[in-house]
Amino acid sequence: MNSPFFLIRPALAAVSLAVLVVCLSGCGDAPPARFHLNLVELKHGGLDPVADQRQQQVLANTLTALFGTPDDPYALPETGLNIDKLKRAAGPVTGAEGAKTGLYRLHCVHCHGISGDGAGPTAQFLNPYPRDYRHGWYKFKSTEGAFPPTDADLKKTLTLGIPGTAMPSFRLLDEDEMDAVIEYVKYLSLRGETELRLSAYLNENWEPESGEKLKPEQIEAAKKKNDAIFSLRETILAADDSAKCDKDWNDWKNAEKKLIKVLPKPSKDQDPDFELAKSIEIGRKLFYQTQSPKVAGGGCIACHGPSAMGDDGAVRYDKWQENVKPAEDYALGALPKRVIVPRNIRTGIFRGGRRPLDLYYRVYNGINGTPMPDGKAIGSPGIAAGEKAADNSKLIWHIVDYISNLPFEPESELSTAKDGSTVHRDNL
Amino acid sequence: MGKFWSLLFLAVPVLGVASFVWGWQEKIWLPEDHSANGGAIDHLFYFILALTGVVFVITEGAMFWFMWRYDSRSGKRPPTKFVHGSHTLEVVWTIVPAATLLFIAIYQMNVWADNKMRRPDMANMQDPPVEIEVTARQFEWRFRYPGPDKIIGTADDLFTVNELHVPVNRKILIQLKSQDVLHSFFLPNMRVKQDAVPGMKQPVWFTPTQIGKDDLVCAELCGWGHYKMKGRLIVESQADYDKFLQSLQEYQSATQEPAAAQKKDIP
Repeated sequence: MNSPFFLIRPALAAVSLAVLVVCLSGCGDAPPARFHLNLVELKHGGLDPVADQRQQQVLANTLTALFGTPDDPYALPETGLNIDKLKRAAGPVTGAEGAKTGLYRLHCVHCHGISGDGAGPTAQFLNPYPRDYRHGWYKFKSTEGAFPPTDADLKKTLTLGIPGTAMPSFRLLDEDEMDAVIEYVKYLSLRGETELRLSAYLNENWEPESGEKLKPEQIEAAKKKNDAIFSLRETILAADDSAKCDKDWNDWKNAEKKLIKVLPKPSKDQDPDFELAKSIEIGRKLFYQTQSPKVAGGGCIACHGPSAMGDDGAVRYDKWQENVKPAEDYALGALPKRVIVPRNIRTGIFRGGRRPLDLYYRVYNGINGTPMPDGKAIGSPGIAAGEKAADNSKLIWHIVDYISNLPFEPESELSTAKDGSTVHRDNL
Repeated sequence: MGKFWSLLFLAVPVLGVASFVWGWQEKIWLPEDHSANGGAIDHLFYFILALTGVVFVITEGAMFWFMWRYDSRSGKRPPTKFVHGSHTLEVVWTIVPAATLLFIAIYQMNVWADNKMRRPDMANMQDPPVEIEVTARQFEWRFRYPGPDKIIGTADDLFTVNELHVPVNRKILIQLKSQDVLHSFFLPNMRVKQDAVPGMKQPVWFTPTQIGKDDLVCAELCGWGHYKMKGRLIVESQADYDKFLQSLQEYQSATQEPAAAQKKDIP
C-alpha cells in the first residue's frame, strides 16, 4: 500500500457507479414525439420565428387540433384520409413481425424526419436530399402539372425504390403495411400544406395584443365553445380565401382525375412505316434543337448538355431549396443548400422508372419541384411565319425513344480501364 | 471447494454437446438445404464437426478425469514422471494433426472447385445456365435479366428489385456487382455466400431444387441500413418463371397505364 496505485480500485468503482447512475436515469421514458413547425417557410411567409412565440403556439395548437400528434394522428373526414391506416403507421414501433405498428418510424423517419421535413438524422449525408413532404410536391408521378401523386404513384416508388438516390425498395412490406405508409406520407403532406395555409392566414389576421382577429360572430361562437383553438379551426374550414385548406385536401382526393393523358406511342403495329432507328433519329434532333423555323424542339441540350451527361455545370436549385438563405435558415433547420445536377442520361439509371411511359411523363410534365420544365410546348409552331403545330405527343414519343436508347449507344457503354484501353462498362 | 473445479470443467463438454442437440431439436440448426450444391457443403460441415466434436469430447473428458482423480485435497499423487523432451511424442503430435489437415484440404478440394472455380459453361446447349446480374447497393438488391436476346447489357434487359425469381432445377449463374461499398450476397438455403466488391464482377452459381420462397440477405456490414438489406429468392417452375419474365417484359415496355380492371402488381 505504499504505491499511489492503491487508489485505482476505489476510483474505478466510483466511476463505474457514476456511469451506472447516469445510464439508469438517462434511459427513462423519452419525451413524446412532436411535430416541428416549418420555421423556414413560416419565416419566408413573413412570420418572425424568434419574436412571436405566441403566434407559433396558436399555429401548433391548431395543427394539433386538426391533425393530432405523431403518436396519435387524427384527420378530419374532409381530408379523405383513413385514420386506421394512419394509426398503423404512426407512433413508436411495436408488435411482432407481420403485425407491426409505427411503420413510419421503423422505415422512414431516419431520412424523412418525424414531421416529414426530409431532414431526419441521416438526411444530411444523402445526395439528393430525402423528400420534404410538407409542400405536397412530388417528382415522380402520373398526374398533370404540380398536382399531387396518386396512391399508385407512391406505391410504385415504395415498391421499386428510386435508383440513383438513397431511396431503397420497400417491396417486401406486406400489402397493408405499404398502404399504411402511403396514407401516412399523404397525411404528412396534407398537414404540411395546411400548416403553410394556416400561417399565411395568421399573418394576415394576427393582432399582436389580442391574438387572433376574429369576426364578432366568430368571437361569440368561440366564447360559447370556450375553445379558441376550435374556433380557429372552424374559421379555417369556413374561410374562402387563401386560408381555405380544403383546396389542398381536395387536390389529393382528386389526384386520380388528373392523370396525364398519354396518346398511343407510334409503333410498327399502327404504322407499317415506323422504324425505331428513324424515331430515335428524330428524337435526337428534338433533343438538341432549341428553336427552329418549323416547330419548337425539346431543347434538352440546354441543361443535359451536348453529351447528354448533365455536365453543363450551371448552378440550379430545386424548389425546396431555392429560397433557403444560408446561415439564417440553417439555424431554423434547413439543410445546407445543394446544387441540383441535371441527369446523366447515358448511365441507364432512370430515377422515376425506365418504362417508356415513365419517360413520357417526365418529358411531358417535367419534374415537379425541379428546374426540369414540361415539354408541352414541343411541337408548337416555330418562329417562321405560317408554320403549323406538330403533334406534341408524337414528338415526345420520339424523344423517349432517343433517351431510352442513349445508354446503349456505343460511346455510353465504353469506359476507360486502368491500362488506358477502352472496355465495355459492364466488363469493368 | 472440493471437486468444484473438476465439475465446472466437465460442464464444458456436457453443455457444449447439449447446446448442439438442443439447437437440432429446436430447429435453429442449419437452414434447410434447398439446393443441389448444398449437400456436399453440408457433408463437409458435418464431417469436420464430427471430427472436431470427437476430439473435443475426448480431451475435455480426459481433463475432467485427471482433475477429479488427482484433486490436491484427496492426497492422491499422480504417478508423474518428468521428462525433458520426447522425440516420439513430438513427432506424433505433429504428424497426426498435419495429416488430418492435409486430408481435409484434399478432401474438400473438389467441393470448393465445384462451387467457386468451375463456372457453369455458358456454351452448354443441352442445359444452358440461367444468367442474372445482381447489383447490390445501399440497401437493396437490384436484378437484371437478359431480354429476348439472352444477352445482359442490351436495350431489352429486364429489371427488378429485391425479389429474385429463378427457375427450379436449373443452374443459376449470378453476375454479382456492387454499386457502392462491400456487400455480401447470402442465400442461406442455397449454401451460397459471396462478397460483392465495387468495380468487380463476381460469378456465383447454384442450383435450386425446391419451389418456394427463401431469404436473401446481406452478410457484410455495409452501413447503417445493413440489417434491412433484405431480399427474397423466389424459386418457381420453369413455366412460372417464363410467365414472370413475360409480365416483367409487359410491365417494362408499357406505353399506357393499364385500365383499372387490368391493373396488376408490379412484377
